[in-house]
Amino acid sequence: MPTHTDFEKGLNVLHAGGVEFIVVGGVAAILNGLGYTTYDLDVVYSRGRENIQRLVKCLEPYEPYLRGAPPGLPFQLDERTVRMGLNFTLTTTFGDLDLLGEVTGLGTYRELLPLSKEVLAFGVRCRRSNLEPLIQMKRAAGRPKDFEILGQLQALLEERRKWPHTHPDDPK
Amino acid sequence: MSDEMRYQKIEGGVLELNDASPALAPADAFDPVIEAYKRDVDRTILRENLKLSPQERSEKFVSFMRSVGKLREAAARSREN
Repeated sequence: MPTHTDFEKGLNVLHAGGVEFIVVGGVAAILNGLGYTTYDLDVVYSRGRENIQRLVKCLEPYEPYLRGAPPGLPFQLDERTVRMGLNFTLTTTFGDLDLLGEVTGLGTYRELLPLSKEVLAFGVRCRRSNLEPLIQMKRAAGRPKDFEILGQLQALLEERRKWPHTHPDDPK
Repeated sequence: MSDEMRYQKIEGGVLELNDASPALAPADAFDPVIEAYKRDVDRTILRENLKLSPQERSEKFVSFMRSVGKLREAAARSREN
């Protein structure tokens, strides 16, 4: 498994596989304008049956496995596994991938969809969460380790509201 | 229901839900702990990033992570020697 995540590859795999997903977490924060480092790709995926089928099919060549679990477990990311579970923290041959069926406070893909925007990033057209729900997710998670990034995200929100030169992809 | 109705500001500026609904605090809600972290944020970087498109931000990020990777490899090599 790689020592870092190839975000471009991960997004390309999901996009080419026709998966309905929204980028959240650190990558979404970066796409919203935060200067930040992150080592995994977090996405909220649609729990529709066909989407789950597309998701497992496109990831299969990349050997998805439970991150942090000892090797050799009888884990297989197939349709049944995804339907029986919800959120999965995985390693793949392109890096770390978190598949989220639901996020704290904001709910599912369908609920997050109107709070997201399609953008071109990493050479791929994909949806990323807007800044406001990202802040709300982090706040709802209630983890002390998120205080620092919450400060940065709120500062970014303030700057975006008052700075006159923001990119058109960033709504005021 | 408006955000003002959902939340009340109690002493110390902490938000409290007025009801049992799953509504979230607004993104710009005041929190004294977050305010303390906000003071140390370099806003010049944020302003520069805001001028970029999401594609340009992703390229900048990838470039930075490549540099981090090279530094890590160099550090690992120096430990081996």
